[in-house]
Amino acid sequence: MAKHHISATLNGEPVEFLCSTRQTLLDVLRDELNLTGSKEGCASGDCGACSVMVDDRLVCSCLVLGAECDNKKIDSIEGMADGEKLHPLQTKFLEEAALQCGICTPGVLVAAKALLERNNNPTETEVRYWLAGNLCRCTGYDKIIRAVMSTAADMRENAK
Amino acid sequence: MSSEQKDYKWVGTRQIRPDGHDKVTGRAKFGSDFSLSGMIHGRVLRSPHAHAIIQSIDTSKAEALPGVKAVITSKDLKDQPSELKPAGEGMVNYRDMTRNVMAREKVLYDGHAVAAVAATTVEIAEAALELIDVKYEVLPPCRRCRRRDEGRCPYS
Amino acid sequence: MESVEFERPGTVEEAVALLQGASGNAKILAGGTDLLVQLRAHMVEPDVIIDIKHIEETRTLTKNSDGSYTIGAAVAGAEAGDRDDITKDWPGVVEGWELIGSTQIQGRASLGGNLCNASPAGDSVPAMVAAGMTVNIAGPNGRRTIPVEEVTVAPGRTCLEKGEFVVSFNLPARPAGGGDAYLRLIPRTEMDIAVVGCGVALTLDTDGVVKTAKVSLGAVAATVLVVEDAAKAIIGTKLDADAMAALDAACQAACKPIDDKRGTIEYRTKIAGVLGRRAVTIAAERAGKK
Repeated sequence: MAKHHISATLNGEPVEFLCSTRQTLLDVLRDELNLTGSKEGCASGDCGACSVMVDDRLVCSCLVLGAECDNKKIDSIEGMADGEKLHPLQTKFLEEAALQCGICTPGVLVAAKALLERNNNPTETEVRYWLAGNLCRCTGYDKIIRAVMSTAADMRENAK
Repeated sequence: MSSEQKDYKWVGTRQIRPDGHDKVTGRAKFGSDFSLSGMIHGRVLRSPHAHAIIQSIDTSKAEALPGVKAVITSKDLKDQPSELKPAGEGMVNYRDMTRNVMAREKVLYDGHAVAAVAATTVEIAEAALELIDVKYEVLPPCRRCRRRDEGRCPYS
Repeated sequence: MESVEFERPGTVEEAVALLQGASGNAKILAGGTDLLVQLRAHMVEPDVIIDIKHIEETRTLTKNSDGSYTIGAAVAGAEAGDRDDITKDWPGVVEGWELIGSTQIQGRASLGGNLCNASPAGDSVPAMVAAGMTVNIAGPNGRRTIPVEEVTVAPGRTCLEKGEFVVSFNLPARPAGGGDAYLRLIPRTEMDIAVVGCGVALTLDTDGVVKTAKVSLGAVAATVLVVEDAAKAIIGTKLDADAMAALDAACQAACKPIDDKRGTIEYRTKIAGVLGRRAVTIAAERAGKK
């Protein structure tokens, strides 16, 4: 059958792509649009490495069909920095060494940003629950949680 | 611990990892992030049984599927003598390793690789897996080490 | 490769026509958190996927003038959790809903999908049953409304006929002196499948005596159970120790669980009683019990 012609907004820019019904948003990002920052860890919504925002809602892009994305607003890790200027979470992850191999990092960052935009004063428990769907197999979670908490503290300080 | 303080250039300092910037921006390229023209894709057929004798593997239909470039089974891996050989930092028994990489006369666990396909697309590779006909004689799983004494150990 | 059609009907009628017209296998797509996994694993091989999210009715959560709610089948758990009204009126219903998977899953997983996936352990279902929710189903012969507990007939199977799909849910107004709760036990703190789930909705009179109650258990039988004996055990009481013991025993007696890696029959049965007592205690507190 004919492929679906989808128009969407990706990281603030208009984008068009063709996809078959079976292609997920993750497949589209990686294979059609060559944005490989979102990773495929499990392809079943367990690991969170493919986390993106669709219409300002945090989702696993492996559980969204590309064909569903017509007129949607999609934000991926590639849109997180403002040109060469890193987002405060990205800077903090570097400073706090909250990454090693880097496979889970894009998904963790997208998810953490979604949390801090809702709540810039989360408890550690809230951060841990929010990020429960982002699995990391090498860094360990403490440094990640610490970096998110520390970014939140900076954001509150800057907001004063 | 020595109380003597010494200024080191790196030791005791916190460094920003050199690959960090690429990793927090999603620019870092991992193996699966590369896409090259003419690239072929591999998929592995795995055992649905924890313990079984492989009676036969028929790959002819998979090989005939357009787009399939290669199908391999343990027959394509040379059998190795059972002996420890130096490999990197440790010693390895290549007989055991070969049997783990791809099941030979028996599958030893659920998920043990039985065959592998390379094809022009992932979809064709997955379709080819379904065309591989493996005949198993299913055996009871071995769950205790001392079963070895009873002659039921999968490794015996 | 077998190709799959993709349709985005804008009305219920179009969706029904597509479902009816599908030669073989049509699948409804709402949140996709079950469907896409099944598609990937080749557990389902649909000819057509019908995305119902362009039908206004499936995407809206409305508080009606009488205090009741109409909830679209494709509304995601996180969307309900962001609403102060329903969270305050029916905390138990929203709790169950928001326990489905991670933050990412909650942003997509729908109430209709969690019900129609027909898992015995679906976290949204016991609290919906306890709250007395009903389902609005559309099909070739028009609409029908049935209680939530009648939808699932066996693991993975619903009572929906060919051409039918769930459009929305009805949640009654929170009654005076009403409270509800959902509790589940999983082997870890988050992101797992219920060993036992228990939903309770009850009302208390001004003296703290239980007037009405509905108790529902998940993951302890092929389908979610309504435990009438558990409700009877507490109605007319002030939830004293004897009533709670009778409730515990009734919950245990209703269980027909399986052994699996998450829990044995004995464990599940015992836990059903424990969760029954705890969920009733929380629901009663929410109903204003001193």
